[in-house]
Amino acid sequence: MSCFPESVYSVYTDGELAPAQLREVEMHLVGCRKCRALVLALREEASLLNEVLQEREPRPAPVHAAAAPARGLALGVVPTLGALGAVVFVVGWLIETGLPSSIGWLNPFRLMGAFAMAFDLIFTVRDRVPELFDFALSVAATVSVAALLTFAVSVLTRRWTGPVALAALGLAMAAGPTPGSAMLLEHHHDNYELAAGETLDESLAISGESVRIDGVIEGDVFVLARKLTVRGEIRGNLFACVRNLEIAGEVSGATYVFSEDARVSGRVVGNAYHVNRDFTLEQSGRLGRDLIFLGEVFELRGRVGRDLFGEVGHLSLLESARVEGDVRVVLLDSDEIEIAPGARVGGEIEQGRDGEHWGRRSWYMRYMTGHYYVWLGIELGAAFLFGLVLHALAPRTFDVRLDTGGAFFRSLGVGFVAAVAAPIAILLAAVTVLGVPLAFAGLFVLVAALYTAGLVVAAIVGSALVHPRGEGWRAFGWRLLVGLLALLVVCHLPIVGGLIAVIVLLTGLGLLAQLGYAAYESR
Amino acid sequence: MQAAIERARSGDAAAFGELYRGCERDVARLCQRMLGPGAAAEDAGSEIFLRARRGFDGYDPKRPFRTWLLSVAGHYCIDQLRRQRTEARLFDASDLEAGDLAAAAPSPLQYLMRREERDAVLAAIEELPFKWRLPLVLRHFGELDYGAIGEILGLEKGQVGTLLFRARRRLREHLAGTIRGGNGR
Repeated sequence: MSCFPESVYSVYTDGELAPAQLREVEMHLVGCRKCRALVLALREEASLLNEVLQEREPRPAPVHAAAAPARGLALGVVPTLGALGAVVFVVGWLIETGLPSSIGWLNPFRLMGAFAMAFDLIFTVRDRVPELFDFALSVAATVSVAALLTFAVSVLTRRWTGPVALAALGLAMAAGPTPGSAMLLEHHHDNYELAAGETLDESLAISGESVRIDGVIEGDVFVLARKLTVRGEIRGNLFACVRNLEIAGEVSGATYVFSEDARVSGRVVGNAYHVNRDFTLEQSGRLGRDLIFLGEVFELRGRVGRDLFGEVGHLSLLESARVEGDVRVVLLDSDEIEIAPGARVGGEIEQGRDGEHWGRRSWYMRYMTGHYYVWLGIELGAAFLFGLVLHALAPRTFDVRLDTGGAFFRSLGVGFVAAVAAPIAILLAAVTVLGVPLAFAGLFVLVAALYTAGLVVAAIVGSALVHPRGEGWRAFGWRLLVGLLALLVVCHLPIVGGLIAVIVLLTGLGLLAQLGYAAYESR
Repeated sequence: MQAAIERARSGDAAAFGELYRGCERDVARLCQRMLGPGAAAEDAGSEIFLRARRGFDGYDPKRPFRTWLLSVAGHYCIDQLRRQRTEARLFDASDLEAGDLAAAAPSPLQYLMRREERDAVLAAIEELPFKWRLPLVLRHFGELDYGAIGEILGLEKGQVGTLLFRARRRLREHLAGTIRGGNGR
């Protein structure tokens, strides 16, 4: 007969087994030394618990216990905020008072020159490691699934699997199929062309010198090239990192483009997200929904189906331009948007100057719009649900405290190191071919950790604000909701909100790092 | 004590008082362990005395008086806890399910408890959530059987067994890191 689970021996030790099962257990114990040893140990445990509870007096009530969880945060946040605020003020003043033109590109709002530098870097890396792009894409899907499964298994069994998780990841990578059937991977040193009349039934990921799509691609397109020309049709989305882009055909999804020059004379059905030095929407060009952009010179002659939203050096709405929605733009190099007499804007026009980022006019504008609060509500709901699920699957995640100012600063420091070191470690891992899957897994973990960090701090803040403290999921949910609301308010305050958000994330990241280390030590 | 019980059963109030005073300290300790330190535990004594006095007719002399009295005290503490908390139930359905009852630690507490660590064990017990602490205290301090514990907590005997197993497991998990880490193991 196989051994009984420990829970049965626990009841047996308490002398509470039903007679029928009692006989079975005793018969098994006669022949099983391992189970006899377990029963002996459980009896010792019960005896010791009796002794401890009966011989010792209960501890006296601690003084000011309710204030403990909040003290660390309260003592630490204010000086940290002050220090960060001073740093941001000094750096911002240095930038705004004008840097020498040779290092003007340091200004995050000045992109001239940075485009050329960025593309040079990208293509140099790409050309030096030609196999890296293909290999990275081919294992990315397998690694993501393996990482998700491993994480799910480890939290569901409430164990930190550590080396076991890594081993499982490695095995999954080796055994997993490459997603060749879902995506065509190409790497060309010169030109790639999908001729007119040809159809590709899958997504395309391609790296080359010049890419020309005259045919039809049923899925998404990922391109890293010096030049991309689309005269055919892309039925999915377009993700492009190119020097020169021309869209004369149609993209049924959205476009996500990082390029020096972009010219659209065809049609984009979804949103268009563009970071371009120069962007031109020709008279025949049609953007079905929003155009969200960042760049230097944007000229529009065609039609934008919804809103225009972004930051640009110069924006021109020329004679035949049509924007059906609003235009909300921050101008970096000019005083106002150039709007030709024949151009039409269906909604409102809001333009701000670069310096007005920090001025009264732009910071309170967003608080006056209804959709801002709708998105806040969605953000809150998603975080709350995720927090409840995480608490149900891995309650130890929230077993953290910030009792003292020292604990707060320690967590902040650890979080800062983790936030800086992790991306560097991921990049270094990605340089080696073997490290690419680890790098992708590490990126996934970092993103998940950052999101969880906010929830952990919200739970601590909620614990400080809500009394009494219970242990059921309802009590936890109440504390989490109160904490999330509090954080949502302070992190969206004007000017200081961003700084507080950074502090919250770094502190939470530090707490998670310490929790992970403690769990690893006690495994 | 038997003589005092006989006198108390025949209506001698002084005898009942004598019996109660003999167990008063245990009653106070049970209340502190179940309700936590604070005013609620300190005020419980007089109320429990009154309840025990009123319910003494239902006392079965075959049972130890201390066990019966602690059972009354346990009932009172549970009533207080239910009043303090926003939800009526102290235990969720998941706490009482017999699934996932695998052992978590490789060895029970005996390997972790040395004399100087018993204060740490006591602290760990007192920091357990109510759902684990209550059955543990009623069993190992009150020395109540599953039936009595179930009656106090409003649970079946099988559910009491499940809760006790989970409580001890949780205690081991909690202490495994604390004690081993403190010893540098």
